[in-house]
Amino acid sequence: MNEQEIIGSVTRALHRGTRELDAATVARLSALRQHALTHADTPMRGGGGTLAWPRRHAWIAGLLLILLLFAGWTYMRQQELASGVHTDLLLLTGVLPPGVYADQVFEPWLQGYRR
Amino acid sequence: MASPQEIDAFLAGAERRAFKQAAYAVRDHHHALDIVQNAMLSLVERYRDKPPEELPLLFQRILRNAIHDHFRRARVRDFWVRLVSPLRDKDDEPGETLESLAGHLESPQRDGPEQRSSGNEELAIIEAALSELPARQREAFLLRYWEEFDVAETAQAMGCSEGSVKTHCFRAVAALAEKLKNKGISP
Repeated sequence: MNEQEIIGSVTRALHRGTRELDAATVARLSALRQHALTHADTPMRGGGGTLAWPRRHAWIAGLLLILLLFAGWTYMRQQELASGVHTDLLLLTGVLPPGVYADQVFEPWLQGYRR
Repeated sequence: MASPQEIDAFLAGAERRAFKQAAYAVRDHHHALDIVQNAMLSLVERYRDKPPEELPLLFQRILRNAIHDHFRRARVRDFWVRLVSPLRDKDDEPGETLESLAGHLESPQRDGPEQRSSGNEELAIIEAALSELPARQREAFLLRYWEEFDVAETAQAMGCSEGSVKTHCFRAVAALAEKLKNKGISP
């Protein structure tokens, strides 16, 4: 079989297959087409409407919001950890006495030290 | 801009081939209908302002994307099913299996009456051979020879170079020739 014969044979069979499609499928396809055409009067989506971008990319906005919240939470967590690490460092280097945590005036002293 | 009548006429002429293309790709009657429906809706909703002569190429691109979306969704669904499956009650599984089996049995692509008749045996063999081709080869063959696009249009629809289209078409024809020869079909 040469190339053109193969192509001809296959495409003829495929055309026959579409002509002889079962009636239920043909009816369903026709109904789907009519349903799609009922949308011809609605405002265009995609490149047409001014609200197209937010509608099509709403998930991006959602993702950005989640990322923003996560970044905020991470920043706050880092701040908490940093303050604890700083205090521990002062304790280990002897700048603060070991009993400082029990001292009621430690917190005001620490605020003053930081300033 | 295409009028509703022009879009209707175009879709009426293209819908059966579109259904078959989707069916060859996904091998499921109902999913193929869903894909065609999505493609039709997308064409009407987004591209009805295009001139009628651009509709065939646009529709093929939309159809191709709809088929890819189907496989993408299936991959995501499979991922979650695999993830959740150890937590699920085993009693749920037989129902789903039977349901999916029933879906396949209902498919005229596989067991329809027309394929059981000897007169359509050749068509069934050819369609099976097409379904077994790699996706890109099948797309190139169908667009180039069935939809009768030229090489440049086929390349545009597939989003690849003209050289790739020629290569895919050549390989598709060679593979089909081999498969049909093995089944004893000659033109």
